[in-house]
Amino acid sequence: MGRYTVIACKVLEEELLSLAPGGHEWYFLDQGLHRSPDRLRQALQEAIDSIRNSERILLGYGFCGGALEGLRARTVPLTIPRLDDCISLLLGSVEARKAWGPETYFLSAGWLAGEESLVREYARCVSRYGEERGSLLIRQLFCHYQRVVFIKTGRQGEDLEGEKVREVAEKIGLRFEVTDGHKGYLQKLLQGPWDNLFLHVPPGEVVTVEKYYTQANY
Amino acid sequence: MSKEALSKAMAELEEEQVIALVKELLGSGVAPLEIVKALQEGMVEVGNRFERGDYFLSELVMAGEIMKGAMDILEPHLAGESTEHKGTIVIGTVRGDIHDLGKNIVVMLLKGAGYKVVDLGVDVPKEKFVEAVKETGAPLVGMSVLLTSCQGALKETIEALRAEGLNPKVIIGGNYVNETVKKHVGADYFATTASDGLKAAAEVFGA
Repeated sequence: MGRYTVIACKVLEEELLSLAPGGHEWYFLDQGLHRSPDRLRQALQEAIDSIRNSERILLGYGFCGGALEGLRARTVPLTIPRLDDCISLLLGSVEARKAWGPETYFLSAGWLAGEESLVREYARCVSRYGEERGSLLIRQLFCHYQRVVFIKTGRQGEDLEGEKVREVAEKIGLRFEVTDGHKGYLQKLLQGPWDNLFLHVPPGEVVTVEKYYTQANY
Repeated sequence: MSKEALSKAMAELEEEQVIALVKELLGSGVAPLEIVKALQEGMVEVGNRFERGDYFLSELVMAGEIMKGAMDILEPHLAGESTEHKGTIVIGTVRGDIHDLGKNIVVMLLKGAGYKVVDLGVDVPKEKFVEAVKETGAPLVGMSVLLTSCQGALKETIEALRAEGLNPKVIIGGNYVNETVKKHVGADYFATTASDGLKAAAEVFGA
């Protein structure tokens, strides 16, 4: 076992591995788990429980809709980015995300590689409900959004993926924009220093929403 | 032709069947509130299927659409059943959050259960909640939230109500809320499902 063990969402797999310093052990969990905080919590706890010989477990997750609440550190301490989800991690900070405003829907090539994404959802919806109704449902789903922002992180073939997003965005009447991600937060997660941007959970302790948002940028 | 069949059709998102069954049940004298309950049970199954990964977000939107169609048929009959509504509820998605799939379903079910619902929409500033409560004197306020980053907005909105001397019961609703969040933001109730929200409303209004 390495000194540090990383448990992260598949959405961040390529981004994290591209920064990979030596000596880390990796566990990547299915991004589809995010739709059910309970299932994600269970999968995370099982992964945490299986790790004994490590100096520290680094979680490549945000609070993810409360999925991390109640997670318990066993014998190895946990270090967790103190933010809401992977979007802030990909953009490099909570502020970078906030600057886009709430009417922004974010995607990255990592998201498009998963089961669930705007592109797949659009295609599925049109094949199930027909062009007119399917398109209408997706428009309705995104009715309060103004723009889709594709985050470039340096993944292979991401420009092509971005084009697919642009096509769907145009079909449902949303502005499409591209922005560069920032790897600073992910880099810090892997190598430290683990400052105030991270939550530390000593062995035996539990993650709670209060600990999460205390002294954070909220 | 039964309430079970209606719940099943709702869960299966069989739009035409749902509409036909609602009409048939009404015609055969089944109480509109019972029909709403059957629809609600179907919605619970839709939620379960989404959690399991059998349904996607667009199915939730579809479910909302079907529900809306059913409620359009039911609403005149609900008004007939109780010309005096059970009470007024102000509801909205808090500032910084624009998610409203869940809220819209709750609004329909509350209307179906006989409440007057004032829906403030999404990304609602605290001032708007205060104003709506002053205007309506609503004894219950629902605050919807999906983003964990909007917990601060929940707290501020509740504080703004209290600062104005307004003391309606406050229920927070959303996927991640729990007892801890409820206490932290100073709410009276929390709900992670529409059914929990309806139960809390029944408690507040003694209905």
